[in-house]
Amino acid sequence: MAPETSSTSSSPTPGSLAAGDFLAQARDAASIGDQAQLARAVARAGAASDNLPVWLSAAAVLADGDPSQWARRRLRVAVLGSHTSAHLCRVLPVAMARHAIAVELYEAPYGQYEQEILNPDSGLYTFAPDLVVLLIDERDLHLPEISADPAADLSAETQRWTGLWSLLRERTAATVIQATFVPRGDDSLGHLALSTPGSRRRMVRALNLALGEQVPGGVQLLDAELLAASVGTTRWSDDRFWFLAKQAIGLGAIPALCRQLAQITAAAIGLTRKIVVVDLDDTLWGGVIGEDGLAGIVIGGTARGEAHQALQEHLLRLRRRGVLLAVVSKNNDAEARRPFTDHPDMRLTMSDFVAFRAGWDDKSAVIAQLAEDLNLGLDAFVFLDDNPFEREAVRQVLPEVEVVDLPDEVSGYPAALAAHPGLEPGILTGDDAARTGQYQALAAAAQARAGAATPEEFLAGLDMHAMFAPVTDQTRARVVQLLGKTNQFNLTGRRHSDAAVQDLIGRPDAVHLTLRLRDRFSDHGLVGVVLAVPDGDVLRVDTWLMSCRVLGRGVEIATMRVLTEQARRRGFTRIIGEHIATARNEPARDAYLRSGFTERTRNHEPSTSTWVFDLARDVVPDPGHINTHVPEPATTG
Amino acid sequence: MNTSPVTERMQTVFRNVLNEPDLQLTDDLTAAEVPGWDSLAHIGLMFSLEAEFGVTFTDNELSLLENVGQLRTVIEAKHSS
Repeated sequence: MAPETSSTSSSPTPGSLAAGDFLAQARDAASIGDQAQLARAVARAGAASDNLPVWLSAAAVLADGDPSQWARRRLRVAVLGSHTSAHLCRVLPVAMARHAIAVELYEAPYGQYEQEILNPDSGLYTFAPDLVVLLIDERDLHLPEISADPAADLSAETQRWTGLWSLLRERTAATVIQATFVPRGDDSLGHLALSTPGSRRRMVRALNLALGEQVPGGVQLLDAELLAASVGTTRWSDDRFWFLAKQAIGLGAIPALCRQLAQITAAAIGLTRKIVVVDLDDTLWGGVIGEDGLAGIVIGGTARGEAHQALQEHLLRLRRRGVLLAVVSKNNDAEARRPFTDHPDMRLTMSDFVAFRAGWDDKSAVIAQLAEDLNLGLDAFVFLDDNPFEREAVRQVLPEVEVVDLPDEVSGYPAALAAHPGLEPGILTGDDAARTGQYQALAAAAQARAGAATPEEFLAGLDMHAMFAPVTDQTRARVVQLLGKTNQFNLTGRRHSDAAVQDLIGRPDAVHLTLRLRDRFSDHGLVGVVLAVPDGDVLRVDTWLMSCRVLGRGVEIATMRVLTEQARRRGFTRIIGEHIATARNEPARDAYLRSGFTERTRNHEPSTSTWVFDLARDVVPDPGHINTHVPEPATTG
Repeated sequence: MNTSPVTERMQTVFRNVLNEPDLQLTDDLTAAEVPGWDSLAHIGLMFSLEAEFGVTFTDNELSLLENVGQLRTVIEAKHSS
């Protein structure tokens, strides 16, 4: 198996270095008897590293501590593994300490999980567990390579597990966590396994789904397939250690597995955090609102802006799930609010927050006050802030608050938030009525999609809304950016600077349009630009472009409809457009043709064509399935 | 005994995996003589040594190397190649 460190030098990876620091902190804390700090440092070592040796060290330090001084909860945990589980049992306490849970462990004798569950006098029941963890390798399933009667075999195997759960629930008060089964990739059917009825791979996946459907209260499933995919096959299983010692789960995957187990445990016992406090600048958007202003902050558009948007979207999903959101920001209140009310690319709105505290006080003090005002314990809080100093300050002053470890790169923010322990949902509450509504909408959309038999039906089913508006000071930056990066649907390829765009749109009687597109499934943002300048009674299209993500929907034709209407209203007689061939814009060559224009000239060196639209005579086809919105004209006549 | 950095790093790994903070590694030390160095601990040791030094042991090396001196020789050979 490929080891994690590839370097042959003796310098450890940055992640291990940080973990080493925390281990040293933990040992120092142990030596002076600071139990709380010991547990925190151990938890941070585990959070900073996926390295089993680090976890083994952390576990050793933790074992020397006194849980009565740092644990919020103490649990008796029974681990029933189909194969070797010793290493997992050693390091599981590190993952649990992350949630301030101290565990006392019982490990079933090797290969005897079924006997332990079936025998009412087994060590398992004597131990009286609060939590039973079932870690069963796929090899233990009673499924043939190809089943002659898949329905019967599936039913029997499903009942085998649900039967074991029933016994556990009858005989203990324990929560059960069962890891789902991970199909092996080395069966002899290869790629045919998926399409062969009764193949073991299909059966394993069907079993996981069936267990998901039948899981009763008190039993939680851990999606091991997802976990295996995220750590990768070479870490999830290492045949060498299987053959050597029946180590079914890769030693490199054990820390990640323990993290998941601890996360589900915390959620199951009601420790899920209730509120996320978010920073604004460089967290919800790129840039600083107080310095860069509304037009300068970055939301959507660029990679950086899309990452911030995705972070907002995840927070929105958390809110819909019932997690509270609050803003704590070092900003003037009025400025801090502006993006929420005035920036079209924000995903979060003021109504998503239960509190909005923008000011200049120390954040820890503000959060502590917020906890009082909302009547929530500090252990209900998660803190999200891009600034490592702010994060460390909150960690020091308010150790009960969970602080999200954001990576250096913004592109990693959404995943870091999604993976943060402490936000794992426990029970889905009645608040999920909103979710039900969403599910219904999704189901309807899926049905509409499934029902679309023709491209026209599909497009109509998208329920597209195209919003046209003149270029404004606020949208101009995005316009310039699109001019700079749009290649495929870009008729002329002119890369105007901001000054040049300002000049173009500043000319009297210039016609300029931005297009925002929304459909049933998402808001695509600003995706189209037309810049046209007058030349007597002719309107010349200097720039026409559209983002490639909205091609193939007829939106370009809707754009020309709007342009021709606007030109007509302002008294132009003709519109002239050009296609200037570049290396990439062949897809745009017939755009004018499809919009009802007539080709007037064509050159070959350089390759250009010009097109003309007679505003008295010509007609742009009606795309039909696009709802077009144009602003009211500023003046009449 | 050659107290090369390799040996020091090996000793740290052994101490952590076996949870023996005072363990002293010598070349002639075998699994039988070290408390806790059973077959289960062995795979943890080998895995951790691979991670620490960025090397991969062969099947034979995984099964048969139970003497610290042999381990050190193999690691040094792989490490420098």
